[in-house]
Amino acid sequence: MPLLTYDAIATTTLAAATSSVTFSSVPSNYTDLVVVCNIKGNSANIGCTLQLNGDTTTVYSVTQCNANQSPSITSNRYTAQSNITLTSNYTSGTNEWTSVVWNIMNYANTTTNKNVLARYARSTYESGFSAGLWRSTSAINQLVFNSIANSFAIGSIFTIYGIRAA
Amino acid sequence: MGVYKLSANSVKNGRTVYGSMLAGNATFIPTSFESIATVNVTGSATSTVEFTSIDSTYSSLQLRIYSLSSTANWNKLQFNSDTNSNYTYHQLEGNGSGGNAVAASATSQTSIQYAYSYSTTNPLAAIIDILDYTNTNKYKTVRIFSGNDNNGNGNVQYSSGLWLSTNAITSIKFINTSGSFNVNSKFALYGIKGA
Repeated sequence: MPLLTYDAIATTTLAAATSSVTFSSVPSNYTDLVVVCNIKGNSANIGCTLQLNGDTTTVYSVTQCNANQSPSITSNRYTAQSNITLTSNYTSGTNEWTSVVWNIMNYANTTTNKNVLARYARSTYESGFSAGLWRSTSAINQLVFNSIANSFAIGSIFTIYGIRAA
Repeated sequence: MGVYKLSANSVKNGRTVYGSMLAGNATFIPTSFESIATVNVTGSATSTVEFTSIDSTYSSLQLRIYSLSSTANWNKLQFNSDTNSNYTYHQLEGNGSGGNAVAASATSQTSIQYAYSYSTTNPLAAIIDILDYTNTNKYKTVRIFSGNDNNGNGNVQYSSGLWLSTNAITSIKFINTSGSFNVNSKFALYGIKGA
């Protein structure tokens, strides 16, 4: 018997500019989490990072592939980071929004490290995708999205979904 | 009409009467995204994982994969046990080199390579969408998003794959080409219904 799944768990829509959005007490009864963000900087360009379970130590890394205004497509890797960083300059302070979709796979398991796949797109500057790593076997129960260089603007939206495998 | 909902509290304090058949419960809204089957690799590692007899009642399929590999190698997939040279793919790959990304393509393949696994401890993840998989008038196109960062090496890929067959897809096999999918790997198959 198929199992109906893909549940909206929580949504945060910013009524005031802020530099950090936290989802706490994430339920553990799903297989994967998907977080859909529609964000922009409050008064200047920003980046977005993800920290898990409040862990600020250098146990994160990420491999990125980005296409921006230059004709080339580039790839970079950042090791021993204190968060999973997407890219630092993809969201403007004007009426231009960036979409980010994070896939946090097998997040509740307590045996293996965690993989986070992300896609992001801003129409006039850059699009890209990345694979992130959190070297921890802890179950993920908290997600913290921090902005870089400026605050998330009013109207920025963060929605977390749960996908449950049979 | 009254609807009664019995509970330990109602037995003690009297029943609650509702005007709706929901009896205070939230409305059930069925989703169109269903979990069909999952393979968890337990006990011992395996070089292949396969979904067979896939239900034909969906519009498209999504596979969500989280795997660990005994060796660094390409992971591949085949449909309906077809081992002939009926597959092609195109990939955009970021390998973290600090330079340009890499594009790759291949024709006349015996499988579609969907991800490169690096590690026994740092998992590979892949999300694979297969559209209109039961259509018997079309070749089948696959969209793949995968990656495996290993804190010093690894890559991330966005790819398309093609199976040159008009057969409806009824089985999908995942192949670890030179090693095994380790214990704690997970392969989840979902179906997405059309309207």
